[in-house]
Amino acid sequence: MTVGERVMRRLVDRVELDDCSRDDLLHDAIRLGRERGRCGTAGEIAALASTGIELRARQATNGDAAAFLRQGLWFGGALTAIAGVASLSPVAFAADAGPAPIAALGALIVALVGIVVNCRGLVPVVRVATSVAAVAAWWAVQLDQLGAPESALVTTSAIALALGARPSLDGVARPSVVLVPTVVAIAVGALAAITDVDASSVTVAFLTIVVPVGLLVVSAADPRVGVAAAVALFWRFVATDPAGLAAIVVAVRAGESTLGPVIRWIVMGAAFLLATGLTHRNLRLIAAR
Amino acid sequence: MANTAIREPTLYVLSALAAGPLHGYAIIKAVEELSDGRLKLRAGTLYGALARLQADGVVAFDGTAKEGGPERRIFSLTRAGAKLLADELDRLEANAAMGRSQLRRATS
Repeated sequence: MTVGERVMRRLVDRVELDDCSRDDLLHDAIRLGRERGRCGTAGEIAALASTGIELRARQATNGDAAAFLRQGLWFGGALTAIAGVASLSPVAFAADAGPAPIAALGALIVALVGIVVNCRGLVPVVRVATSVAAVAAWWAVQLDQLGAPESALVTTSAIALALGARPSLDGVARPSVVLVPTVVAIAVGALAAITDVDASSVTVAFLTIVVPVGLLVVSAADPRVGVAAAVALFWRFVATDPAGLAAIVVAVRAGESTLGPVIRWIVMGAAFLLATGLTHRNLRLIAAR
Repeated sequence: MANTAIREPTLYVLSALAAGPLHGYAIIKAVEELSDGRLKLRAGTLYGALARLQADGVVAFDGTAKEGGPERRIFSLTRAGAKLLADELDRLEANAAMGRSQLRRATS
């Protein structure tokens, strides 16, 4: 068995089909890969990965577009909550930190634990915890202990989790062996950034720009992650302070400022619109036979 | 699912099964032949589509067969599947007739 065929076997093991269909699928994928050469094998591997993701997403949502949307909001809320931990950590762990940033970070960590455990009974705990974090972050902004973008990040997470729905995989699938360690590793990595502001900024940028771009690629098979990407990109758009843009434009015209913030605002707005449009298209496609 | 639009690969899969029950590999080869080599389905794509179509009651398992290899599951079109295919073909025919009539009006 070649490396490609071993990869196919691994992927087929994770496809949500009965055992007989899995055997047939593996047999046909290997046979077609041998007939169509290396490119054919690569194509079969990509199709197996995509089908595996799509069938899992369908099983979790029963193919319902509203469920795709609500679960995507939940994923987006989780992603922005992780970014929020990375963003708040340097402030909350500073020697002169006040109670507001510490309360916001503590509440966000409680919410993240609830998300990772993925138990129905913890949903209200997650929602209350992120709401508490949003209020505490707003309070910290009033006390000049936190920036408005960081507060907006926590608020975005709280709203997404309030509107979203926990993916229901009861009796169908076990927690993903990839997803859970990934979330835990990112959360631990974010906490490792607590003593280093630069590391924190890089982590936040990674989680709200690089990860969403990756999620948009996967969203053709699972539109839920496209919604999650749109949530993160929405925050990037809001964090560029649209309210202050008019003043920046005036300053640019007077030669007192550069165009940087305006360009950043346009790019983030375009990225958010692209993510929303792509997700809408993918939702329509997945509803078709 | 409320939306009953049919994508082209699905139309070919249903057309292949309209001629009689087939196993997965035979469906892929039939689709390739019916489309003059234009559509080369991947195994993952086909079995994903079959799972969806089965859940919608369009396609059903129809026993197993052994043709010089391991035992394979056979799929067949259900009555609902045959009706869906017929309705879709009627819709395509109506669209084609409308397009041709518009072309004739433009050239006359």
